[in-house]
Amino acid sequence: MTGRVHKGSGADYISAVCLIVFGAAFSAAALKMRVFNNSLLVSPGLFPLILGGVFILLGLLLLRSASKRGGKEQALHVLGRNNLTAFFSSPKVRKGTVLLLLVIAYVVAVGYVPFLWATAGYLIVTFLYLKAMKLHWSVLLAFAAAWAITFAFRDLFRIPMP
Amino acid sequence: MEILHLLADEAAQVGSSLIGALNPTILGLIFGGSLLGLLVGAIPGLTATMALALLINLSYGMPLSNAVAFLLSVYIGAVSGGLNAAIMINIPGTPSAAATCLDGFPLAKQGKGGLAIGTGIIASFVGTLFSIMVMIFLSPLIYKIALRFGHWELFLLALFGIMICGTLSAGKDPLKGWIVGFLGFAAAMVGMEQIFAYPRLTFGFLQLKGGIPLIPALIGVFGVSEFLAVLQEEVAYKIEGKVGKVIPPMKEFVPLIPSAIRSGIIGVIIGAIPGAGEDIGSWLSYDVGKRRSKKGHLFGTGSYEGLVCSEVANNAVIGGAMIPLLTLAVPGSPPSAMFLAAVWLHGVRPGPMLNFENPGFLPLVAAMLILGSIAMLIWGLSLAKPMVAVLKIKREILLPIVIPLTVIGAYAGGVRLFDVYLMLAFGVLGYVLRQMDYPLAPLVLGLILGPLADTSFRRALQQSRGAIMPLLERPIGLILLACVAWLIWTGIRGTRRYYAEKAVIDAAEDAAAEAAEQN
Repeated sequence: MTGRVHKGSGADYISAVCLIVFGAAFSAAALKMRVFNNSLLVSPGLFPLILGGVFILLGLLLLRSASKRGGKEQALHVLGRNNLTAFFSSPKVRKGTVLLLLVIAYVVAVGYVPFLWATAGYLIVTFLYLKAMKLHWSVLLAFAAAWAITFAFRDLFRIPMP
Repeated sequence: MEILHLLADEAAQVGSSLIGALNPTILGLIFGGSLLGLLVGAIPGLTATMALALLINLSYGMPLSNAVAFLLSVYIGAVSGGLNAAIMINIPGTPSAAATCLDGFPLAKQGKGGLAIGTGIIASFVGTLFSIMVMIFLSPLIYKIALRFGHWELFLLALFGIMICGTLSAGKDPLKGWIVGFLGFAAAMVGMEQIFAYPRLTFGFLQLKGGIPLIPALIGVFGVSEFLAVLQEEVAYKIEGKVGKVIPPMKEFVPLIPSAIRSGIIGVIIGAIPGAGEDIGSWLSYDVGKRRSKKGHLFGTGSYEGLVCSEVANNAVIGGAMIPLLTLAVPGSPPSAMFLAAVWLHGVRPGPMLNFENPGFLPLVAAMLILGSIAMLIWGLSLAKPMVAVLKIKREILLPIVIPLTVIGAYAGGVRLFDVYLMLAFGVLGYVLRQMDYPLAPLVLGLILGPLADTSFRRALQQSRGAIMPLLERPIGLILLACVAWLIWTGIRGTRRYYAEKAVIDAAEDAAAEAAEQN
């Protein structure tokens, strides 16, 4: 182990473990489902039970191949404190995370704030974060876009809006 | 003779659907949808599936024929629109135009960008029309075969669908494609199952009793995740050369006819394979074209033939993808899955019974595809220059506006905020899967085919009283079973080979790194 991170094997190892756990949980949930007319053949849990087994099998296949490529060591290495810090401080991941958080905040806001205001607010913040244009243009375009979307969908096409 | 009668009948119905569509509302929707599709397709990072995800909400309140006209025009426009960016900035507007970059961009560098766009648009038109003709003539035959499908065959068809989709979309690592496909099956298990109406895996959420709604899930997987994945990458580009003349001289096309026909056939075949999609059709056709053409050595240097191979095939996938969708309810590509979800919302259930339940639907689809491709041709040729101007708008301005549209799309179908939260959850899932190199098309196909697989499997077992042998005696089922077994066998071998190659590369990288450290 050189301490180098190979793209794939560590991630495959982690996803294989997750898949096996998921498959086991899925099978367990399937076993708890009701059996009608004492017939297992049409029982609602039959197909999910088989699916659970398939997940475990696919997980084992992935685990085997990931292990052969040093996946366990890679996974432990990747999940180490230094690597996680480096991962989350990389510009690409940080940008993706911030954009995702903005989308989550917007989706939550849509439930509480009128659509036009929530949309304008989301667009202003996102434009500014992405450095798309200057503040006054961001505000202007955000309100124009929010109004145009609201008008087009609610008033023109009569689509139900949040 | 019976088949000839069927075909003549089908052609006559398409003709009457075409005449029926010639009214201002439908024509307005076709031209509007085509223009919107071309615009979305032209923007790098936004795919045809994304175009449909963003615009599907506009079709909710429309009558069926209007919705079909609008959505199919968006689909054709978006698949074709990708070539503008591919040619002018060497970045495909949609993944289906990736192969177009190889010859389109060199042509733009030579100052023939306009001619390349014109050739590409005409090739796209030819590809779509070719695939519509094949769809019109093949679908009645497949209906006849599909009517002989029992529960066992339907289960195997669903299984075959996600297996082949997983194999083709995951490239060298089919295992990942299958995993995602079965995850789609698992997601489809949520909600009331179809035999006893027993609620499964709802975790106490009343909103989940009806299952995971398809449109919010699709919008999340293809819309939200794409937005995040595209915007986190910094891509700088500049527009190469001037557009110049757009319409190419007719004599240039004659030598390209054999390539166009071959590419059309490849596109239709790839389109008919569940979940394969436009990008695979385009690459395969380009590759075959390069090897078969007398001027293959010119491919990649600005060859019109290479451009035609890519553009005819990616558009021919559209009609090809409609064949399994209409006859078996198995979408041939991710955008056609979106279309399937939209027509379900309008109460149409494609599949073997479609000809009995909605006898005019297939001709309607064919007619709208024809009109949609004509609209695309007109817009594509007349707006080539303004379309290039759209590329000058920064992605950082255009893409954030996508998110409010996805929220409306997810909300409007069921008028509940829960669907918006589900869309977000699927968006995050899609984003994570993208980052880990898992394909997304099998997830969607699994979600669509899951209920069919579950119900058909249990009903088949019930019919045979749990015995497997009677099921193995059915010829169509046996063929499908052999196909699934072959896919598993070749897939596992392919995965092993891929990982073995990867292990060698990793070891070489380690050795090189160690040597560098020692020095």
